Amino acid sequence: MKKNLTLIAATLLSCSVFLAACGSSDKEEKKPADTTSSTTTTTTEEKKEEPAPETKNVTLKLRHTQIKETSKVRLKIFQDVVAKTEQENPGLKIEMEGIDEVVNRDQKLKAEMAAGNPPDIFEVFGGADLNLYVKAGRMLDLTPIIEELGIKDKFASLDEFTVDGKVYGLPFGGYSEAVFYNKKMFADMGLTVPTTWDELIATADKVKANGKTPFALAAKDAWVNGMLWNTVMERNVGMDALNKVVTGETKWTDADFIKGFEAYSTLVNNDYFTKGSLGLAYADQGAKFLAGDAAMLFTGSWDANRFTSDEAGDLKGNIGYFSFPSIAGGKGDQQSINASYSNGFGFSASLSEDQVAMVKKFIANFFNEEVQKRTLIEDKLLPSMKLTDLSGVDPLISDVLTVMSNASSSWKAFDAIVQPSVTADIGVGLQELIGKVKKPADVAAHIQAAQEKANAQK
Amino acid sequence: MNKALRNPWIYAAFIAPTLALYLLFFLYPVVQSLYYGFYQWDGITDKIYIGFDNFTRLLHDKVFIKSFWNNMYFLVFSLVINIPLVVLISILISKVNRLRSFYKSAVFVPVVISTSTVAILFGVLYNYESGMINQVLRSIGLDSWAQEWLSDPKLAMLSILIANAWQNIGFFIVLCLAAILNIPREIVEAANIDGATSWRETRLITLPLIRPVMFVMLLLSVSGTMKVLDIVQIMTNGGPFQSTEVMSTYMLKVGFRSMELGYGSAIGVAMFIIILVMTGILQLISRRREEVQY
Repeated sequence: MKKNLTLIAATLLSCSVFLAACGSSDKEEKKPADTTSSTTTTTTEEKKEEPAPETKNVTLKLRHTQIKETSKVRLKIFQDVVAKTEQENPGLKIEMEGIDEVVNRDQKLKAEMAAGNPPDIFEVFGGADLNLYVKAGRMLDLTPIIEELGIKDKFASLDEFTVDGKVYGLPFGGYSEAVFYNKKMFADMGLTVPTTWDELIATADKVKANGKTPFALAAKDAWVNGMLWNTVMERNVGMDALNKVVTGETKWTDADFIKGFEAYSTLVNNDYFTKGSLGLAYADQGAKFLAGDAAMLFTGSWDANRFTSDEAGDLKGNIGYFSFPSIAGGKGDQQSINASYSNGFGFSASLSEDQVAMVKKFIANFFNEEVQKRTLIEDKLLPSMKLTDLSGVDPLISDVLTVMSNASSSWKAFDAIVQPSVTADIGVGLQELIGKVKKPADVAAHIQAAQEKANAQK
Repeated sequence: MNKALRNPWIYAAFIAPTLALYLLFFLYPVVQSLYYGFYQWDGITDKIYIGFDNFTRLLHDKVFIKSFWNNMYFLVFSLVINIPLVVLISILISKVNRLRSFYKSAVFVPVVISTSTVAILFGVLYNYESGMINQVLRSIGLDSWAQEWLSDPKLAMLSILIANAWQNIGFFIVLCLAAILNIPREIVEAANIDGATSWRETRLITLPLIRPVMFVMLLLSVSGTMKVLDIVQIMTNGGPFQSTEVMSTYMLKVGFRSMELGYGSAIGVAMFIIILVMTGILQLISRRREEVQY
């Protein structure tokens, strides 16, 4: 027995000696490769770094959420940028890991942030999520990097990633939320794009009379219901009032807010939504819309990619996009739109100096006009950077771009304003409205109670 | 070698790795949750000590109480429907000689499929428009019977329970069947000679003799149903509007969606205590009853 122990110990010891030897020989072996890398970096970048950077083995873990069938185009773009960066920087290894976006946002990344071990590069949402992580000191300050690369002013908006004047993340695309509509069905039923609430109701009634569903909806996931409700609410109360619920200056139970809840519930009570929607997952609403069951669909412009794909079948090229109608007497900005550039990349604060250097290379390769243009054309994602050339863009996408440029103002979603616990209660409340089990005033009261509790916890 | 077996340190060395894992992944998290339960904490920024507030909040939290009753619904369903069904099917299978192993494997197949798959599969079957159940009902002219199986708060829980039962009874049947087949043939034959009918044989011979296995099933049902998570999470995610929320899905939501890790931990601790007490009571009951010997 004793003999065995010494044997094991000896083996372990020899292993560690061997490994140590590997470590030290690494540097010497890599010398030749070193020179090639420094030449490529100096040619690709204008700025010359005085001492040729020593090639070290640097590994970066990149967490993305592009794992669905519908996001394989974006994944390909990510992969290409990663491959290019790896090629230009010998010794660099970027390990990509894909994971479901909801799981990442709500569970995995949050847990990792709590434990202090987030991946090196990861997709992150600007706004409330980012603020929390910045507060905990987990996010890398990118301000010096983007200043050095000279791309700071090229972004459409960095608001959602800026905390106290410092930038902690970079959006790779933006979105707006409005109504997709089936142009063919509209033409068949003699409908025109509604611009007021009353016209919207009339349009929906006509669709219903023709035996189709006015709005496709899959309400199982709370965030999906939040989108349309958010816009209806903004039309009624205005952004200023929505921003003030966290300070207690306005209440969800104020008359205007109640009107917002009631307006939303009118759509429900008129049976404008897909039947059985509470049991359907998000992808189903797009499927119902594309199958020609529904005339309209309120969602984010990210679905434009899907609606211009082959899945659209007959409807390809027959789908349009319009801003949500104005509501007479509402206190909000009636021509405004929910748009934001909150989908982006963040970087871990605990990166080593070498890793930061590589992150800089990655940013340079990813955030440039070439990749942004490619994203717009192939992935139909609204560019987060200002583009000079807009040729070759799909008609639906130019619809989306037009709606965005016609909007009088843009605002961020409610879940970027209120605390996560309130977001959760709003999600439940909206489902209760959809299920017709509670009255708008009761839902508002419940949300207000949650809001007060959350405000008190600050 | 013999000497080695007598050395207590050898035993310790073999137990140590497992014990270490047990401590790390079971005991440590339990203690940690208890500790977090006393704080108001979003999981990232500084913790604020709030004493027993989280635990008193639990007692008044309507959603938590609802979740607890949903867990009880789960439990009652498996005690009243699942276990009798398991015993019935097991006895039936034990009575047939032809194709017995076929039946045995047939009922066991669902157990092999992962719960996620079962949940998604039933989600498809239950779909209001395109689901097979509603399609069949409509095709035989029972349009009004077509239901929103997963989106009607009155039916959603039952729909989950049925899917859960479909998956789980197979394992119990195999367990129960093994016990029935283990009953010595002489006892059954003696009973038959004494003129026992099939029903009397089942009631007076089979059932008493498989009581230990039934107790195991009871125990597994209690712990299994009180901590159930996956099938609910996937089929309804606690919805519609939290009508199918169970304790574990609620814990997950509070802890990681609402970012109230302290309160989430308190829910975890409460679950731990509830399961501990329930299994403790069961143990006591079983110890008091004497088992029939053969």
